[in-house]
Amino acid sequence: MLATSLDPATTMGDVARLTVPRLADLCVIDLLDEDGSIRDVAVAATDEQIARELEELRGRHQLDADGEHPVACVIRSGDPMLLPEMPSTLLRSIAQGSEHAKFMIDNGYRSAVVAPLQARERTLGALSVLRLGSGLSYGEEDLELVCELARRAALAIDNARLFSDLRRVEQRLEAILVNLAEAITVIDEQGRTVFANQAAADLLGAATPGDLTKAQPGSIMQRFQVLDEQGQELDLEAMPGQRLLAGEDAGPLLVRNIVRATGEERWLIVRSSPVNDPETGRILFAVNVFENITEIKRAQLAESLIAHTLQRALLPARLPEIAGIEVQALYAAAGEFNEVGGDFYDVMPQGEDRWMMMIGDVCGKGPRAAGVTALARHTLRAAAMSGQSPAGMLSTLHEALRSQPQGTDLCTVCLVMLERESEDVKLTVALAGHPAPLLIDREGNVKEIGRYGTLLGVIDPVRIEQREVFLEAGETLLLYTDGVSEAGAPNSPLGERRLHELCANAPSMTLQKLLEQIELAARARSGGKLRDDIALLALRCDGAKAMR
Amino acid sequence: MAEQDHFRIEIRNSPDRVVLCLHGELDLASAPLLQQEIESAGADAGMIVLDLKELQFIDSTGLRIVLAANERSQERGQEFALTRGSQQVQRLLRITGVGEHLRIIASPDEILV
Repeated sequence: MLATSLDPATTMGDVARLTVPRLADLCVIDLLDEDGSIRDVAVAATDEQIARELEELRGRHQLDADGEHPVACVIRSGDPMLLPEMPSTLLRSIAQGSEHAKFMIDNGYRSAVVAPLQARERTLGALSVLRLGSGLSYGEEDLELVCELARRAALAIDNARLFSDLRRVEQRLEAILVNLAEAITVIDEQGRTVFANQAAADLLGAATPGDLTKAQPGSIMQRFQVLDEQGQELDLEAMPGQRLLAGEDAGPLLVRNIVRATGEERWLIVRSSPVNDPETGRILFAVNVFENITEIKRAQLAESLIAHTLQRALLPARLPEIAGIEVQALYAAAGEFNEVGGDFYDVMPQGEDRWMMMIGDVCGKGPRAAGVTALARHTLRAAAMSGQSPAGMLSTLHEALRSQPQGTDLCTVCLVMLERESEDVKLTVALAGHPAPLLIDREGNVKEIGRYGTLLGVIDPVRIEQREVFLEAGETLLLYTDGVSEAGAPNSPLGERRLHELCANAPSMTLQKLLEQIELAARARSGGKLRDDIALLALRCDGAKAMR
Repeated sequence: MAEQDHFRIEIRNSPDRVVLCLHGELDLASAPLLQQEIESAGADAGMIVLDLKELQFIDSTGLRIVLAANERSQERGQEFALTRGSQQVQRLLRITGVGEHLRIIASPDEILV
């Protein structure tokens, strides 16, 4: 009976009425307020007039918490008090003023028991039972009974208080969640949405949070096509909340949500955390937080698309044809929608029977790197047309990079000048911070040609030396960027040695096949995902027909 | 100590120098951390040493930060030196010509003459 209601005021009224008339003619329950004052919260009496009058009187004269009134004493000490007899001298000594004394004497206060209301080692107040007029006095056995009643009442009151505190916290929490800009839903073990805020309703296309909590499990998801970052369709079980409820670990998930009805697209990060049963540890709920990053993602995609387009524009649409010499190039970007890695290559004529081949790598990524790549390529083209030597062209590019406002862009380049000389082709190689090209003879012997020189754009002065070598019929020259040799770094880099081994097979395969084999090996080392772009540029001399 | 995925810096101060011992991979992702640590830890040092013996990997962005730090040290009148790194690091320093531009010492506590 005492545990039926969880509302404190109702509970105490019930307790007080329970004692009347069998145990008492008058019952008063006082509670200690947070500020230390004593407040009567329930009064019950056989004569309702008395109860009403007492309530009015107590309203005018509050009990002095530090005074001699038995209720104050019991609350202070925590010990019960038995007053078998209450002579008028006693009544006067405990009265809160003459009006109070008169009330007690007039109504024939006869005997009383005051028991502390204690729960969880805290005194919450006191329960007083009184006999009036000519009734019996209370004895020790009554004291025990009243104490037991007080103990149970205190527990009920305490539960009611805890419940009301809990409600308050819940309401406060709900007010916070409702007003959060992030969309939040809570799903239970059956996958039902038990809570949603307005942001969640907006995001998931519902008019109110109620529409979400009333929806069948899984039915909300049907309104959307849900894709992962790679464009693979995801089902409900892949959502972090559902995975948590299935007992799996679930990290944040980036999803692309397309509203089936309208085609509207959103990028969301979905994070879920479990709410566990404090006793069993079982997961009761999953709290989902949806962060809408559509704007950020759009900007990112736009930037990467611009970069990608720029990169394409920076590579020659097709390589020029050189009589007697086969030229092949291969370029592989790191990632699908890659940020620009800054690798570039080009082949261009320099006069009648001279050609300039270049391959390079600009430091950094994104539109800025693309800008530097454009500068590098066009500066080198202009320098080539003005008839500069490879080393001279590299110095020109260095100066151009140095005169950039930022002055910190760096780039590595390998330049090879091709000149016809009787049956063979003379190569003049100049390196600026770039790996040396590989010369592969007809037997498959591989050697690096050129001398390492300073990278461009940051160190003054640059030191670049040219080296000359002849390319005979059937021999192959390979220019590459370090995305090739360092594919798989640092754990299992492809490395120069492996690259040399791959090149040793060059005589037995077409140039295109050779480049494909190298790309394949680089991808395999990188676990399929390239860390850096790779660029390859190769040429092979046909011999007698060379450059004629 | 400053760290992030795949990269970590241990900082050691001695009376005449601050030694930043780099572990892991110095690339586009980790370069800003090094830049920041050189600025904060090395500002008042007489000498800055980047100890590369535990550095597994460096790319061109990493090189740029090292070069910029060297330049900054020269402006401030500080000494700046590196120790040798892994083969990959040594190779990149050789290919790019950066190795001969910077002061390379055998041990981080080597006294410069």
